[in-house]
Amino acid sequence: MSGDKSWLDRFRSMQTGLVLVAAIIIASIAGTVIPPQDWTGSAGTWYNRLQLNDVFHSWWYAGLLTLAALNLIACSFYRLTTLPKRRGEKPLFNSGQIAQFQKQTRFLITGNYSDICARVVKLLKMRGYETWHDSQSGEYRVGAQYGGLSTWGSLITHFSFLIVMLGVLIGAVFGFQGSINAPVGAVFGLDSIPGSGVAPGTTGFKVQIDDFHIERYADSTPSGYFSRVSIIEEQAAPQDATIGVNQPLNYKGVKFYQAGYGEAIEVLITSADGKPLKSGLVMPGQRFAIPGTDYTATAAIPAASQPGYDLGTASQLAYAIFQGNQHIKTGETGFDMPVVIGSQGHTVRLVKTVPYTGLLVKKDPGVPLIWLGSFFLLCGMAMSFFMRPHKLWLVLRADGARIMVTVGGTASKNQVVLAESIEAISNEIKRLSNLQTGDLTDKGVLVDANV
Amino acid sequence: MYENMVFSAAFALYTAAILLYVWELASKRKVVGRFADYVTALGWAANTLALIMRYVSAGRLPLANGYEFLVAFAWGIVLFFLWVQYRYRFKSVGLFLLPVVWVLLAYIAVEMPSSQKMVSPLMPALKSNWLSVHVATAILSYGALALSFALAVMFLVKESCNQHNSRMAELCQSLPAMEVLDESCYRFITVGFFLLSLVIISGAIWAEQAWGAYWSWDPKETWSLITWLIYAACLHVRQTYGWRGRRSSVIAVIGFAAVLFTFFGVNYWLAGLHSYA
Repeated sequence: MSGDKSWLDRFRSMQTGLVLVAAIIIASIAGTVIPPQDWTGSAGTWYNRLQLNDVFHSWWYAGLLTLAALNLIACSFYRLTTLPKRRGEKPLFNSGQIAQFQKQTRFLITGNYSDICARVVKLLKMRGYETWHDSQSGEYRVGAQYGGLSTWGSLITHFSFLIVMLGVLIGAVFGFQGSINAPVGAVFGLDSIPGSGVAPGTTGFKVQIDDFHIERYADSTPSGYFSRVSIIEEQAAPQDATIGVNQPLNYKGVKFYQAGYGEAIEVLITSADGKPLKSGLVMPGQRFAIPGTDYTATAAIPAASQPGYDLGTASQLAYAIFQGNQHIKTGETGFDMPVVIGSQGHTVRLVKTVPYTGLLVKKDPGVPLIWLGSFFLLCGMAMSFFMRPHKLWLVLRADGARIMVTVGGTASKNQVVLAESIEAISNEIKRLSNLQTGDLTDKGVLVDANV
Repeated sequence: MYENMVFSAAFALYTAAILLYVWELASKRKVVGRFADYVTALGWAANTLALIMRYVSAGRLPLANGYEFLVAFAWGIVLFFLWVQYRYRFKSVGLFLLPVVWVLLAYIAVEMPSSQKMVSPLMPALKSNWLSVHVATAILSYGALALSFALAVMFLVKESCNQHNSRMAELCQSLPAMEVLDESCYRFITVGFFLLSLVIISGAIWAEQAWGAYWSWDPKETWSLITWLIYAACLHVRQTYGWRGRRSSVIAVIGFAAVLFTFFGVNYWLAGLHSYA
């Protein structure tokens, strides 16, 4: 039989899906426990080839996810084609057939036969069942379905993933992400953000950093980091905005997140005769060249590594000097004090510190689809799990002055709910009767009619 | 100080309840089990009070660090348990479930350094309304999954008793019917799985706001996905291949192990963005 299956049938099967899920589980576990490290030798080759330092961004993990996505797509569309067929079926059973069901009961009631039949159907409808019925060889046969919509639940759940995947794809194709450390006072456009890949001159607006500050609790632990910015656009007044942790700024689909902060150091380099050669901001640890020499230098703020350090409170700065790649000297200096470098008498002054804010800048037009897909995912799951789908089959047969009622049911998921429903409906039908005369499933014991 | 006493009271009452459930099983006296249910309810009341006291002293929902989450986790498990006892009165579930609660609280009492138990102000990344949604659903989800775990273990115990026909078989007879255990385990998995999805989605929404990415393969995120996939597989094989009973129970046990690892293991062995709880 399995030889007849096409490759597509096999690919969209649950078996393939489960194998892929198992593979993803194993790969994910591996991805979280394999520490990034430097391997040497043949182990290192494999380590690098499989990108084990970053499994989640490796080619083979992406491949696994893609296969799983394709499996899900194929299986969802296949289910879509089979669903209407299954929903159309409305079978009915006679009492003999229901007696074969695993979950069923049978009891006698009294009352007017046709009246009771009508009231049973009405009762089922009131309880939210969809019903169908007929009369055949003295039996009034009723079929009732509860939570029929639940069949759609699984389909909605699976299709919701397609929406999410579409969102991920759109984000990957049309989105960008970059980050920038922007000193207070700086103005930048999206095209100047490293990693954003935005073409120069295409951004439309610029962002100016007006201020960065840290708010603190009474015990001096930080309670918030805030950047005040102005959005500058041609032919428009600047707009003020504040960016904080958990409060990104969203402007024209571009989101700015507070991601870090620190202090940049303003450096002034002069020649021996006092002529300024170069000035500008450098980040702590960033190499800068001394013009006209083969010297480079770095500057840092030693106090910044102390716990509880507050921006702008450093009193000493540190520097290191290199000639070529060779480390020449390390030292500390006060603000705006000349440090002489090399034989030609160049001086470097670390003039002051300027706070900078670290911003993550991002555009992801796929995000709304992710949330839409998530919403459908939850709806689909709720339908599929909590609508308590089941079907009941009832037969009413006139038995002398009394009516024999047979109630049975089936449920694909929830046998306990089915048993409860059969019991509940049976009790309600008994209540329809003027006088309850006995419950045959109770081994002939008469039940108190006082309900 | 008082909070500590209330915590200890909850711990003591849960411990007493476990012993009473053992006694119930051994003596086969229904009234003992009933009494144990009430002791558990009392323990839960103390557990609730401990959370309320923390809420008052912190001035925010007590869901922000490892201690608060564990106390709330225990609370969530017992909440589901009490609901089940009220609704169905399953015998001996407490015997299998409360030890999970006991271990969580014992960990706080014995292992957790007191610095981690103190009320600490929220770090900026946690200052979001999503904190309550995300953590509250996590507590309910884990509560439901813990219950499914206990039911699965009961199924496996009962099955092995029946197979070996040992002296234990007699004791196991008083456990609920295997079909009931299997079915209820499945139902709690669906509840826990639905809530787990909500936890992951609310986490993604929050992460998109706080970190700028709805998904960053952080160990916590990845492990929640692993847990989710295990339960998803469990539901699929049940529905499609009719894996019920033992196989389904084994997956439920593995799934809950993944839940615990997502909470504890990730914090202790794997570093990541999600390092507060």
